[in-house]
Amino acid sequence: MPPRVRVPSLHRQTLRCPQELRVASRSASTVAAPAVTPAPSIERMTRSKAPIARTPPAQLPSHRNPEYRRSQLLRQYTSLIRTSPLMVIFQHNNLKSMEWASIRRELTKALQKVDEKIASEGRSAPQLAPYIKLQTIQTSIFEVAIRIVEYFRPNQAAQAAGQPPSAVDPITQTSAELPALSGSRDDPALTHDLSRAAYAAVRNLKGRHELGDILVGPIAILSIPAVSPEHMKAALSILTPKESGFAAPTRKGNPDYHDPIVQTGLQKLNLLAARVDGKVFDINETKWVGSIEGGMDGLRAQLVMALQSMGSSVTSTLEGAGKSLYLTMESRRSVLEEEQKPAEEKTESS
Amino acid sequence: MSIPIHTITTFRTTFNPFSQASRPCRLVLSLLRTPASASPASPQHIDIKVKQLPRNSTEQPSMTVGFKGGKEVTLEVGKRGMKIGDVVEEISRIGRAMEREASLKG
Repeated sequence: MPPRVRVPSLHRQTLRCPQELRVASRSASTVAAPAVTPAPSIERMTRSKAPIARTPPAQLPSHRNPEYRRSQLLRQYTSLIRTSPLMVIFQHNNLKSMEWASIRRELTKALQKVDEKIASEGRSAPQLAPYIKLQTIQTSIFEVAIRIVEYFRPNQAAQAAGQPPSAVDPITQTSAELPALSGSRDDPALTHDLSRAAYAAVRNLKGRHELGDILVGPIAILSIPAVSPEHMKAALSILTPKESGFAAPTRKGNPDYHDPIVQTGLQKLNLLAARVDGKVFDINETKWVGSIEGGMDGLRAQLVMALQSMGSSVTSTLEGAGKSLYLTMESRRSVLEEEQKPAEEKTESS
Repeated sequence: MSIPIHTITTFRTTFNPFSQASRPCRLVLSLLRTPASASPASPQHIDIKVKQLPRNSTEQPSMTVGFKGGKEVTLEVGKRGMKIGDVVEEISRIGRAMEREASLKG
């Protein structure tokens, strides 16, 4: 039987130091607390916590030292390739920093104009101008990055094997050990872009990708985060008006563009190729992509038109059979009626 | 070894960027297109014309380098299987000879 709680009398509270009082009240509270702990949740009953991983989840072991610049560039390039379905590739020859700055200024100006035009037409395309970037790249690392993006497909089975064991299986204990390889670079469950699995998967595919021959020498890339032919056309009309055939802004319309710094910079830029939705296009095909009017909406409108005209032709074809049958029957009926009429007339006259 | 750029006046090249043989053409282009040679006003100006072939063309890349004094050299880069080192060697050999001649003349 639990001891009764004594209500401290007033005259005792007034007594002595506060220390004593605290001790007394604490002992009273511990005794008064209910001696029942809440039942664990269903998740905790059926599934034990995973054993503690040996590496932090944001710093997985990688094939090369992640502190190297090239490792981080590789990560940056893979993410760039994954997030920009439309890329234009240029060769840049000894441009000065002032020339780069002024070219980028003109480029953003032109792209903002496209955004404004799209907004004024009331189309619901997202604003792309702040996300379109022109940057120089390290070609050898970019080539590896593009191979990883295109050819590396993580092995699902290996990934599943590397997951921490769950407690649904009665054999598994909370103290179950992780696989021996986990926490090391050789762990097959690691499939991030810097992992050893990714490295081994693309190592033998050197020079296999179509862009491999393009990525030589000084290369710059214009990355557009959506397939927007309008933005590409605007960018090409600024960067390579001669090669792409898109008219550059006039001297009156945009005097800044005809600044000597911009023009000498542009002389040293060459259009090489483009990559649209994973496909590599040469100059002529790039021009064709840029010449699509009205962007993706324009393409969709063209498709709808084609489908509609096809539908009407199909209905007319299908109707045709019925119509011809009807016409034949009609003509036959009229013939029969004509045949009957004289007979009736004959019978009447006779 | 560097190319004596000031002896060169014109540069014409034809290549298909999708072929591996076009590498030397593009690299020489990047060597010749410098801030000094780009502006038409400067004495070292090089008149550069680039013709890019479509992707499926099988035409071999080639380049023509014009030197001061009207001498022109055409290098069949693709046919001879030249690399950038060979091209630079060949161009700079001629360029150095012209430099030497000019210095002897005074």
